[in-house]
Amino acid sequence: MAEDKEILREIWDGKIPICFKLAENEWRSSEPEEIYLMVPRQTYFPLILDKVQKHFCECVSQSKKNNEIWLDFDGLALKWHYPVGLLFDLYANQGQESVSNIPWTLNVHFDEFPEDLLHCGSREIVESFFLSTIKEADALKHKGKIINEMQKKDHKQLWAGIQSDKFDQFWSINKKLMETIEGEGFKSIPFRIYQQDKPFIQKLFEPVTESGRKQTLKDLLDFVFGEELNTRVILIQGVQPSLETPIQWLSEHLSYPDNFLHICVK
Amino acid sequence: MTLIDNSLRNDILNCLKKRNKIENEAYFQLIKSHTKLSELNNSLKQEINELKLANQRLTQENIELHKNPGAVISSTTLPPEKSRQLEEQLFKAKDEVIDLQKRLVDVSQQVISLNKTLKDKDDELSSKEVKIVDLENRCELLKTLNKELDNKMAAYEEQIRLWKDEKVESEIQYNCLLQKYDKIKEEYQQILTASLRFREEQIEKVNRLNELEAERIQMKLKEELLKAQTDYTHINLNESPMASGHANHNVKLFPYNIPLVNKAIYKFDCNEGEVNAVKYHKSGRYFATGGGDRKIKLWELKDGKAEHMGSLIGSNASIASIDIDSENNLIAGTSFDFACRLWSLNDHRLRMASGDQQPTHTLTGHTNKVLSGKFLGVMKVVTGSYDRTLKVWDLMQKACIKTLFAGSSCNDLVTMDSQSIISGHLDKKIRFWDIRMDPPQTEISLQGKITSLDVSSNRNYLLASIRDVNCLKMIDIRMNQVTETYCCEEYKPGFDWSRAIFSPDIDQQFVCAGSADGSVIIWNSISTKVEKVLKEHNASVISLAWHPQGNNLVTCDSKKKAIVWAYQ
Repeated sequence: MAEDKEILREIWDGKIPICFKLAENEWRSSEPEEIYLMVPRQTYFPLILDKVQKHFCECVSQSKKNNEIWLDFDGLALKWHYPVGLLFDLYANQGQESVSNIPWTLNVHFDEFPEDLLHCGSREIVESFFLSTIKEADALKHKGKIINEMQKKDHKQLWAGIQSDKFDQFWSINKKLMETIEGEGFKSIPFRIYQQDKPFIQKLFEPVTESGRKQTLKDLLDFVFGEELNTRVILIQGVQPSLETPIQWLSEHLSYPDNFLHICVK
Repeated sequence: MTLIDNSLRNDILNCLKKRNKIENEAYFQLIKSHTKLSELNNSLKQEINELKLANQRLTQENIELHKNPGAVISSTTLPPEKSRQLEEQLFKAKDEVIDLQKRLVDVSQQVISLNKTLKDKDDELSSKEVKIVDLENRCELLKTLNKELDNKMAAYEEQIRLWKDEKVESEIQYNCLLQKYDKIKEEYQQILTASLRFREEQIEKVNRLNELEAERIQMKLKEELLKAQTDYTHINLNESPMASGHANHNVKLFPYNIPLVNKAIYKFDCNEGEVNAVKYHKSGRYFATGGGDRKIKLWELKDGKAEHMGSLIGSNASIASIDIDSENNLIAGTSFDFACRLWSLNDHRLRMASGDQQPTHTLTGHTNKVLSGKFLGVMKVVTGSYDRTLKVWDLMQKACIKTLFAGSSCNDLVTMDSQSIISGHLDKKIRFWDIRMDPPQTEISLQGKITSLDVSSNRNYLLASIRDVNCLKMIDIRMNQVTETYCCEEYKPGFDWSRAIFSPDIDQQFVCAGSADGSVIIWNSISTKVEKVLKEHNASVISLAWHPQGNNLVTCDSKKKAIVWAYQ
């Protein structure tokens, strides 16, 4: 059970200041004004790009005005289906000591959509992706029992909570997904490990061993990488938790809204 | 609640708080004010644009006003504001006028189009009315047709009913008639069987009586034989023959000797043309002649004269031969018209009241002249014809029941009992037939054409007259052999059907024939000597008949004359 509301609240309220600049090669006349937005960590980019588009559409030539926007950071095209917090942690977060990337400056492009980047047609696509990720997570946690017992309006409520950034609306449903039997935990932990320039790693990992011992973050990393990772920085939700933290607790409290524990290893 | 070390948890909490502080709180206010400013900026820009546009418009108006000072000078007494107002009003009014004119044009166009549509609709309406009238007329016609057809149907049904009734009636009638017919048929059958039975009884009776008579005669003859000698004794002509009575059909009660006729007592014309046939009725009361006048005439001998009793007509050609069935009172006459006719006689009366009689039966079937016809047994007739066949006819069925193929034209035939026939033919043969079998039992060949056959009263001897050798032959039937031959210088058969006969007595003492020169020759049958030659006829004598009791002899010739001879 995810009962530590304080932690959950802190996680939910995480926001990143982002500065959107129009890419230089698309200026029509002169440098257009930048637009600054506070973007929640838990959301996805397609949901917040409306303002950006409205702001920049006058500055772009008529023919390109309605094209799909894509973002890049330092020449790296950003995938829309990662949560914003994950993207920031992976590419820009340099720990709590350095603040050079805050506010996070992104280039906005209307033209020359990259071939290898997925298109996002509409909000509905994002919604269906989000829900499928939740189902996958629940399948790993409870063999899909809880998500399948939920009604369609519950799914809609989850998505509405994300869209409108309402903590109570979201967590009233989500806490059901975080239910466990005392002492046993989930069947397996839904997690993904991201590293720069590599595809993410996802494996089956039980939170409680056969002997009854609770697994920790260290055990997870040993399990995945099989070697000592002293020099590497482990970021979850922008913080570096202790390696002794029980993995079950981490999954309950530090997961993103899609119920996955996205771990960045740098 | 998932257990976790409190210290760990606090660590993480602190980290999170720190993170939020760095990321979130520092920039939150900043970005908020930034967005506000940019919005303000945008709205101000818009206002400026609008003001610019308004300004432009005003300057343009100003320029225009400056351009047209002359038009407006007269009225520039008005303050420029007012003049501008008035100008504006004028423009507005002009615009309105233009608008109204446009509207007028539109409306008039509409009116024209509406008129057109109205006319079209009127045309349609009139055409529809015409169609309606037409259809109404057709409807009327059809109604009348319908009524007519109904009437016709009713009439037909009436007729059908009538016919049905008639049919039922006629069916009922038919059933009635059918029943009657059945009844009558039964009755007829019954009557037939009764009559057959009766006839059989009659025959039996007759046979018995005959036997008795025969016995009696035998007795008498024996007595007289003892008395009498070989001399001929005269018999009183007027003595009524003992054969009066009803039972003398088969056995003739003759005296031992019959007179040898020597004188013609009566000559008369009997038939026009040649007289081919003459025959006595077994009672001796009358005889029949037939010949070229196609009639059979019946004569009765009274007071030495022959009186004409009646004629039997119906033949279409000359009568060839006559046979009389005394039992049933039928006369059979065969004719050259290929048929044989039967007439019935009513001999309860001596006179025939009606003059001419039609035949009761006509037996047709031969394809050539029927030369001879004789009664055979009970109700049968056998005829012989030039078509080389003999036909046996059943008088009950009135049809030919048997045809015997002889192979040669038959001139004469005789019957012995109800089964045996003897016929003489042009091929010089005499044929003996049994009607139950087809090929002739025996044949006797002679030297010439057989023109006549006669059988003796005791059925033992057959007399045949032969043309080419001009003689008569007597044949014993039992032995099929020729026993006697009779010749004479004067004897020459004149026709292919010239007849020769036995005398009717039981010993057939005499044999008689007519010759071509008109003489009648009588031979003694035993001695074959010529007893008498009677010359009276002027023409060839064709046929002869002896009175059953031997009293008279009737001869007839080819020139319509008949002569009755007697002993005087």
